Amino acid sequence: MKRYTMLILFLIFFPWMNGFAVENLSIDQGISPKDGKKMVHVIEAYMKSWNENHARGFTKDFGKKSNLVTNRGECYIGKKSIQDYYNHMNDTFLHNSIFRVEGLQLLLVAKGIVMGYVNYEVDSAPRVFEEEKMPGFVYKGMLTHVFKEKDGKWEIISTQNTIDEMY
Amino acid sequence: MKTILLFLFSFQMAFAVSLSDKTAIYKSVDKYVDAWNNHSGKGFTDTFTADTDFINIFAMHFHGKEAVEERHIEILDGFLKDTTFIVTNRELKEVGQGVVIAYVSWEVKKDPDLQMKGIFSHVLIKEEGTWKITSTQNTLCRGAL
Repeated sequence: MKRYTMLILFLIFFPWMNGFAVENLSIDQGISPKDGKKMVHVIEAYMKSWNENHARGFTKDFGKKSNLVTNRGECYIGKKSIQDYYNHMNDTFLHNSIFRVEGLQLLLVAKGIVMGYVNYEVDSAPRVFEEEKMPGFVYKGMLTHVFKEKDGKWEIISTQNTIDEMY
Repeated sequence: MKTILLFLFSFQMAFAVSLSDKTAIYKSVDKYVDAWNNHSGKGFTDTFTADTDFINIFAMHFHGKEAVEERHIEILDGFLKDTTFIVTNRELKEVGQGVVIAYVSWEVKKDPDLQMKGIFSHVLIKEEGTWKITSTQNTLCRGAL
């Protein structure tokens, strides 16, 4: 009995133990639990890629013609160019930083189209960047995704990022 | 080659939406620009859905057209008073039947003190034949790192 209790507790807390769990989740009633779960997995997967693999694989669930507006207002078109951008950021300025999802709201727009509002925090320890010692930093922001269902999968087809300047 | 591909892609993006829908969507944008420039923010959300979501340049999340309009009236009576809002670029991307994303680049000016640049992405839906903005995110343009 004790063994099963431990197993259940392990399964419940496993994502949190790894730091890849989405917190404060809110899913529109119009979205089926199955679809909601799939979109949460998309977010968890990119969070994991950021934290474990310096963002390699970040765009795995992005559409081929996906758009990104970065937190500096730059526009990238296409999965590859978005992945290159995240590779660059995680190899330099954001190297070894930790990405946490502090809130996720999924809202149905139309059949097969969902808005995902991601409140996030990026936490970086002090590090050396371009041969200069840099202090650590924490910033928060909002990533807004447009999800589209394609062949039973949910892809991110558009994303915009805004930093919480007040933080 | 890259320029040609970029041009073709932009061409495809721009013309995936019918001309009448494109005109109606641009009118939605013109409406809030007019509210900003001529009515101190009153009517800013006339072409937004009742349950619209709006993320501003500080990543603050506003829900509902009243809340979004109130916020714009407040800032246009505050630090953005007497500013002019100019649309510098518009691009449309059709994402599904009756759903379009509009990327709207803007400048806000108040000579000689203030000049801000930014980009909106709006998600618009066709509600009873009318295009309305159901989601917006705003980000300031500060160039590449």
